[in-house]
Amino acid sequence: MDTTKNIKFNVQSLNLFYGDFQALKDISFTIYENEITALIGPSGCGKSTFLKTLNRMNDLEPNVTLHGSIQLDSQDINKDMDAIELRKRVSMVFQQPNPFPKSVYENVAYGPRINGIRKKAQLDEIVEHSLRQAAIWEEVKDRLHKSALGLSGGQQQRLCIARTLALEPEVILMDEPTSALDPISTMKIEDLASELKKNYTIVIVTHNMQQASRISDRTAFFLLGNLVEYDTTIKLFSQPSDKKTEEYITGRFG
Amino acid sequence: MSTRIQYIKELEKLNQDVLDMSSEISNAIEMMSEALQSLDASLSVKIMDGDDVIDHMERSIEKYCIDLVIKEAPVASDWRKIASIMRIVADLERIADHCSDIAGYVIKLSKESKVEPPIQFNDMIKIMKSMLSDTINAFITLDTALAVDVVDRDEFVDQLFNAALDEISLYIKAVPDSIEQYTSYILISKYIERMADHAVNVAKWIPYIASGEYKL
Repeated sequence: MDTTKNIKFNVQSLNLFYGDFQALKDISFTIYENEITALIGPSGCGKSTFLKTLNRMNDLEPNVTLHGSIQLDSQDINKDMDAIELRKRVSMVFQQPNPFPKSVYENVAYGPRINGIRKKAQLDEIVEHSLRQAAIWEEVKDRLHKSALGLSGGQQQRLCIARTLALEPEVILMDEPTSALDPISTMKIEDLASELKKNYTIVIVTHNMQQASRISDRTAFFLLGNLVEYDTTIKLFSQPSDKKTEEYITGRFG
Repeated sequence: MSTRIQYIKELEKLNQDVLDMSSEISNAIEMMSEALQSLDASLSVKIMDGDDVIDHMERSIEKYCIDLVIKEAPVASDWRKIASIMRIVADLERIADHCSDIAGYVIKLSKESKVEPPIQFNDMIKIMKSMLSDTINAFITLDTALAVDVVDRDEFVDQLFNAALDEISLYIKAVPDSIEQYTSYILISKYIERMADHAVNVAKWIPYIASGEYKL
């Protein structure tokens, strides 16, 4: 426990079942504010499942049972919070960029607009601010009213991040946000994540261990539904305490 | 199932290369010790020629480490070992250099009238040799306790070095004509003392390789 940092999520004894299959086994750990927390582990280890529990995306799946508690700023997200409210505060960026088939501008303005913001000047400001924060403003400022689908994959992903930022979330969950992108776009997203952590808390699932070691402050290693090890990224990648972590990160299995 | 089979083979080769380099250095020390006792100039030339081989071994191990880092992005114990080896081989190479330096003075001494060498040399060399071979054993077995023992043993070499200096200065006062020879012996004592220091430097990496513990 790092007492110098504010805790954003406090997860205690989290167990999750898909029907009879237990996908998460007694997971307890804390995610700190204004940090990037990386979740790593082989396919099927439970890291994406865990990520989805943080904004209750699992609510949408049938046969899911969940025990234990997840607190966001000391509030139980499954008991004391409305799912819509939660997802405004904790948003998600997916593996495949998924812009709406609308203009660049409309992609970003969509969220604020359904939240009741109608004034064009205010929407303009939110759109520009969000696109700037997502480090894509310079690339799209002259084509705001053209279709977002004409952007490159990397640009689409940063647009999706801008769309997320327009709703002013506190936490951004990223589920393998660069696995569909080329190396340059990947670096841009990584730089962006490092920049965004000043104002947001980021939790990222990644298959790319170098990515985890480059950008995250802390790393959690999952295996077969267990949280095997959770530590600062430097410690985990230089001096892992668990033999299974060591074997995984050095490529001895997985 | 084990993965990265090629990578694991490369790490094993790296380990073997370090052992080969160490054994080459042990031979050089053995020869140096013999040459020093008998003031054997031709053996000394052989030591000096052999130093190029050891230099080359150091460079190729370093290059191998660099390539592994670039290609494999090693982490955890793999990284600790590779990073440490890059430092360790530099110290091993210095030990070999000092063998060669001593050989140079042996050649010089062999051309001058013979004087009594300081009696501490035998023990200094014996302890220094044991420090080096135990360091290498500790490196292979990741025996941290043995590495600590090597570090502690350096104290004896330092004491013997100081005693040798005292003895040499007495000789110089007593037989000022032999100052050339004794100057060589002063430098030889210093090289032996430094060789033990380099063994200590190597030993200090062992706990880091074994557990990641790094003392500032």
